[in-house]
Amino acid sequence: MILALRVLLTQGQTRVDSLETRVAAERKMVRAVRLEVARLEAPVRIESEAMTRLGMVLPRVVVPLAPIGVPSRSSGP
Amino acid sequence: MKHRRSQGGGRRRTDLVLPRWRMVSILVALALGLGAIVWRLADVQGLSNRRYAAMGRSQRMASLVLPAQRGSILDRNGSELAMSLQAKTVWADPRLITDVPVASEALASVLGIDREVLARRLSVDAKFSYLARKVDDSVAARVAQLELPGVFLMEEPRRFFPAATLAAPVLGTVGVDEQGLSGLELQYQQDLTGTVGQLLEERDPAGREIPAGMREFRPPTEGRQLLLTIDRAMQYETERVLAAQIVASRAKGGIAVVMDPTKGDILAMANLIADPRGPRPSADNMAVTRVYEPGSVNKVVTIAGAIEEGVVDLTSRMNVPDTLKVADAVFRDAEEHSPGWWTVGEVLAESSNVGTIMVGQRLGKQRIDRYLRAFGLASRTALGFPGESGGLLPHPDRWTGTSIATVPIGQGVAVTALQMLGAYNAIANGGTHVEPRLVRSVVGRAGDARTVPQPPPRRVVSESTAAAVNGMLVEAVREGTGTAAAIDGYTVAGKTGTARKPRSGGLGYMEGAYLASFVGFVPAEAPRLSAIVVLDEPTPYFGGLVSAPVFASLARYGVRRFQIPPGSVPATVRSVVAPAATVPSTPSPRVRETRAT
Repeated sequence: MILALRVLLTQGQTRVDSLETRVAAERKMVRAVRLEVARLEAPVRIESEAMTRLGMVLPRVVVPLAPIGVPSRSSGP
Repeated sequence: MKHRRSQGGGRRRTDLVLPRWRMVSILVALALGLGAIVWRLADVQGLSNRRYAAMGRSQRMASLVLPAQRGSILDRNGSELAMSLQAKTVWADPRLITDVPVASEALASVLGIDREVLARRLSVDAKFSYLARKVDDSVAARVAQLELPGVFLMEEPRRFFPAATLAAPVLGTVGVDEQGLSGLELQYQQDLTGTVGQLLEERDPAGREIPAGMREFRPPTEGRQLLLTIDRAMQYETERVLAAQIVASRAKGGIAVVMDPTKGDILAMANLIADPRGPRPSADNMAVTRVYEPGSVNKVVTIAGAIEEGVVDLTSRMNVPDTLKVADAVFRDAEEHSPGWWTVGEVLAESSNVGTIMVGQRLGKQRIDRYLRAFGLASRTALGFPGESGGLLPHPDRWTGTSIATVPIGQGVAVTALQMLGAYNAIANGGTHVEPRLVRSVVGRAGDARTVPQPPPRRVVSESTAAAVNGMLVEAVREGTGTAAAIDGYTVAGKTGTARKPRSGGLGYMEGAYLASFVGFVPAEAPRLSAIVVLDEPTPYFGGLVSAPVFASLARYGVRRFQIPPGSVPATVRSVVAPAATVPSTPSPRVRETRAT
């Protein structure tokens, strides 16, 4: 009887160990993914990708749409 | 048993009886032995049982320290600016290394470390030697593939800054053991550092875990997160625009701070210095650690104090020459002009040194000092940022003969960029000074947030005084020295400043070295965004030419980013900038920029 309980206990412990290992691995994965997302969302990367991959450029002249009655003026960066 | 020997009758009888003393000795010896055993038993089982239990436990229990994850630093929208992740560290047990030259040769190419350095690390007389700390996962995998005896991998937390150098002087740095060294990493070290965990396992003499043996697991507690007031996109734009102007004006560096004046939230804080490869973040947060002579932007405090004290009238005019002698020094406006009858609003809008000095003389040194301190220019802010300066403001008792002329126009005093922006925020807030804020809250792993306390707002000048000065600042941008700060559809209020840089020794000023600045807020009717831009030795050196355009770019981006609608100028503001002439007026010349001597 005692031996059987010990076996059950050992099996349970092994399962707990396995689950703890998985939880730790998943947590690490979540953090790694969050880091990757933060890197991908970083403005410096977005701008770099836009300029190098998509061929976009910073506007030379910005002409905002002014409300009625307010004269608009162009401005450079 | 005793041996007795009797003699008599020719007959000898031997009796085996031990002497009495010997019997007693044996009994005593046995008793002592038994007593010692009992005593030992009592000691082991009773008196010192805990000590022996602990000794046994230490022999069969293996302890493993589980490092805690350092808390992340997030921008106001929850985007990670700094976070920690487990990384692999390569270490060796030199006693198990069989062939040092072969091992160091193999590791050198993988780790990118000199072979000789590795050989020394593999030859130390110790059980443990670091080879490379916190390497990339790919490097760790290649080390594992080498299967070198005595070379092992372990995990350690490593700090990452996913947005690269964005806001680096504000965030600060951490050491190799994840201890904060500067910036917010240092200031909030206690919150960011978690609590290490521990794993206790019962192991057999061979070091293998005993199934169903004793096991204690105390998980590490992750450090708390910092939720900043910084907006990542605004921060990037601020650094980008400032960097572009540093390059364009060949400046040595620059500071730009963008805030929400109503709440005191710092939305962006850029600190850049010029470098041959392009502007790069400074080592420290110059916006709060470095002081500079503010120059003309300081005139706002003098004028506001004078209006509040009633020593100047908003509509009356005073005769302002272009030179004025005070003590043994002659002070000039930036451009020559004939004496004219100017309102105090025109004095500020045109940034007249002489006019401001005349106002300052009416106000007096005690009251000037009081208002400078009330606007927060002589004390550290509530940020508590490491290395923050409180500014340099001499006590009125130590003023020299010319101080009554220099202090009102921002010379002979030194402030941080954040202090000066705070003073303008007080005008923007209708005369109420709101302390700046960089950290909104400290968030625990369970989501429990602790708001960082902020001192209550305090009134500096009356609402009417603030409205009057606001109107003057609107005029300074509309037709004064700050026209380059104007943006379409919005009413901008602000002030330019161009101040000479003092010599490093403290006596006199450097020839041809200026700090150009612009401080302002938008929309003037209901300010939601304020900013200060300071450029170090730009060309040209006028704040209205180099710093004001940077402000305009930041304001233009900020009103879109934060969806700030334009407002309409209230009557109180308009009435100040266009006063009815009651005395004969000489048209004031356009003073493009002020420059105190």
